[in-house]
Amino acid sequence: MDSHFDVVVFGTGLTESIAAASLSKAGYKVVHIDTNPYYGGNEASLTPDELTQWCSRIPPSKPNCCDYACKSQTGTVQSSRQYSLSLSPSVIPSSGSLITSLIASGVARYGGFRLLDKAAVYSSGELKTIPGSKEAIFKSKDISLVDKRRLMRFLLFASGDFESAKELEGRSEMPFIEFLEEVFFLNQDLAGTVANALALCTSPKEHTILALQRTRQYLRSSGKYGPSPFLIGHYGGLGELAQGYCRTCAVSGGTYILGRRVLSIHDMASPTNECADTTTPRFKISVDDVSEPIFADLIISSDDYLPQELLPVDVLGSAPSSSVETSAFCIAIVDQPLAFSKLSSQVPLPEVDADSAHSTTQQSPANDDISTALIIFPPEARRQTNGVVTVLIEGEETFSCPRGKHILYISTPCLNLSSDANESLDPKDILRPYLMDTLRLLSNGPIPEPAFSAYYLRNLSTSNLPLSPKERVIISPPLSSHFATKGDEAARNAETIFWEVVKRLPKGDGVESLWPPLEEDQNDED
Amino acid sequence: MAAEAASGNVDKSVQVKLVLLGEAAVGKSSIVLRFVSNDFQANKEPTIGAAFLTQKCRLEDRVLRYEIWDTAGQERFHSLAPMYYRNAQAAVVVYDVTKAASLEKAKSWVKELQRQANPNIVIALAGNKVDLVTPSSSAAPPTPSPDGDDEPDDATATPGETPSAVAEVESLRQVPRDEAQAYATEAGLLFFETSAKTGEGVVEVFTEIAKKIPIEHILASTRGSGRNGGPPGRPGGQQSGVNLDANATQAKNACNC
Ligand SMILES: Cc1cc2nc3c(=O)[nH]c(=O)nc-3n(C[C@H](O)[C@H](O)[C@H](O)COP(=O)(O)OP(=O)(O)OC[C@H]3O[C@@H](n4cnc5c(N)ncnc54)[C@H](O)[C@@H]3O)c2cc1C
Ligand SMILES: Nc1nc2c(ncn2[C@@H]2O[C@H](COP(=O)(O)OP(=O)(O)O)[C@@H](O)[C@H]2O)c(=O)[nH]1
Ligand SMILES: [Mg+2]
Repeated sequence: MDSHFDVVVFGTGLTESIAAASLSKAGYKVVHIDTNPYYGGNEASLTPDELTQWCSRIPPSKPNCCDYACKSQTGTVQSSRQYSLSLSPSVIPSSGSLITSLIASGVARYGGFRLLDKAAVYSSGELKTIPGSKEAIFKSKDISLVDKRRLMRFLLFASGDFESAKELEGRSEMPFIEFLEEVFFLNQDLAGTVANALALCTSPKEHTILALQRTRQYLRSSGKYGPSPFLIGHYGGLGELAQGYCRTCAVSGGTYILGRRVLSIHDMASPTNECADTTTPRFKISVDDVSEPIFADLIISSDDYLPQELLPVDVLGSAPSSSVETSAFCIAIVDQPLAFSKLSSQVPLPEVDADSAHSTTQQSPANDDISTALIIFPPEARRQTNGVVTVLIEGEETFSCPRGKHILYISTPCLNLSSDANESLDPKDILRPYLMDTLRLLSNGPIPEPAFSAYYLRNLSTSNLPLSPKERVIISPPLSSHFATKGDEAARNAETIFWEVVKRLPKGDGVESLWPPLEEDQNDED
Repeated sequence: MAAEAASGNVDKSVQVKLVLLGEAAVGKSSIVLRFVSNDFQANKEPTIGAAFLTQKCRLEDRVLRYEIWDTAGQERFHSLAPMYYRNAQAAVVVYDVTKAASLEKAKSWVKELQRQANPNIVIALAGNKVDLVTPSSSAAPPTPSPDGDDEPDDATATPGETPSAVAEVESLRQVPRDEAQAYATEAGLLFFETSAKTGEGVVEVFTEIAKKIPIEHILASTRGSGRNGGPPGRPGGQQSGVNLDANATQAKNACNC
């Protein structure tokens, strides 16, 4: 192996994988290393067997920006290989940075996607469907004319460039529901519905600006590929896409080393003069079972790979508990059929659509063809954590499980917790009631007991990481926990990293674009 | 052809995903290059630089469109992603006839494929670099060939390769043909000896696979009654899937009717 690389990338999470692919395509010599035997890092898609192993893995001794805790798992399934379970379940907005990146990079060709079939909100004992399309033909009889006008005004506002609008002045960090009530005079019910169903808020206190941005993306995404604004990636979603980006990197010459321990990362620059010499490589890396050392001029890494001396002091350890965001996750596999027919009544949100003809013929799949669904449980005072609970269901047509099975991903942010409450959090206590509620709501007969289930907590340190502790070290930040934005976040972070590398390690002939134009598929006509 | 006509989709050939597997440097990429471009590049890693290559393969009664996935070097540190072999309908597992260990590696990949891949997958075992052990004029001439475009043999990276006499040439062989053939028969694989360098046996690999592919099964499973009977080569093209590259408004219009 010619062992001097321009860039070494540690971790095959989605952000690192996109960055590696873009740099390799731009002509950088890339080596991509992951200590896990699988691709995708925190976004990996695993088989139930691999997930069971992941659950029993001892947490690292060094504090990381993104940690997993309280992992527990029960049950086994036959043909484990036929499942792809995502550590980072997500929906992909049809219009956004990730979709743009997938198309521009050509990785879309490796992946498969399905439109989200149904979205519903839980409301007084029932599941009510959320309409997926935009603009304003209001048909609902539940809403007064005045409310319809107010809602219309809000939707117009939210689909535009509101960032500098006067309505938002001084209010961008206000809780979104308050904003809806105060600025658009929506009544409490309607404001809650908008926050839960359109803005996909996961907490009642969410900042207005973030909620508005998601609402806008929702409105811009719906209708692009069909009635739902969201796509579900086949084979477990983001983990599969990470593999696609890695393949793209490899095809342009990137080298891949998986499942090996990184023994040492040594900075060879003299401490006094960071970039004294440009001909000798900057970092020397040794990897278990790879005989020669690997040399590189620049490191891109998720924070968990870097040795102490390459990290700024304040990133580590002493993060106050207030800056840690904890979310609880559950992954369950059920093998009974689910009765999606129970998802039929409409949420009391007016039908919103591009044109009236369209709205009447809105294509929803017949109930027995439903393979994917999103169910939102609004915050409930009586329950432990008081965040929105999101349930994402994937069936065989996402190719992430065999015929007749369904995967349920359940997650919620754990809000309002003091640090010692955090110690005693059990994700199973929090989420199992919602798992059983969901199964009860979607079953005609007895409530099925899941064949397999796993629970875990994800602690995300929100202390702002410097992107770059050193000129030649770039840290890729962990993705936020929101199921509808993390893919786009990865694409945006990767783009930032790409341009930083181009700036710090210029190529002779210059780099003009993130993704060079795609060549046509090789031709084969004989 | 009958199957195609019956499905009302005459101009579209059946797409078959084919993956290459085998130890690094046995000649996987070279075999693809020979098959797709009828070319050979000695002594350098042929960079494919494409997501996958497509190549039509015509038989008397059918046309197949191979979508050929090369490892892109990810086999080097055992880092092939599950995505790579997922939904492959055919695989060519390659070893190097001058390296006994490469056959052992090949056997372990065949096992993996049989354990994990599509149960109908057609697997061919290819013992490559036979030019190094065949003392014929087309294969390993002791002197540079007169036509000039064929490099002298020492231009290839394969160690120990300076064949000048029949005995020496034959001594390079570490995998007897009979032994590999016997293993292939026992494991139910197609078997070939190939040379990406001379082209010997390469096209046969792909045409024999094409004959064995259960084409009707693929057609039935991908054009099913709205549900996906079987795993598609590229799910993006499925009716239940969404093709991101397609004009977005098209999808919308399709909803209107
Ligand atoms: C269909 C298929 C094709 C393969 N093709 C090749 C190939 O062409 N060249 C090659 O070198 N290796 C390939 N592999 C990987 C191969 O199975 C072994 O990982 C490799 O041979 C190492 O074997 P081992 O006995 O040292 O370790 P093993 O005990 O078999 O595995 C070592 C580690 O690798 C992981 N692993 C196993 N399979 C894969 C995989 N496909 N992708 C990523 N990680 C994996 C395991 O989880 C384990 O942690 C392939 C695997 C499969 C399933
Ligand atoms: N003599 C000879 N050399 C070959 C043949 N096929 C490949 N090679 C050489 O073997 C080396 C490795 O080939 P490559 O196609 O890169 O192998 P891969 O790693 O399996 O893709 C290159 O130097 C090739 O030129 C062959 O049939 N005969
Ligand atoms: Mg190769």
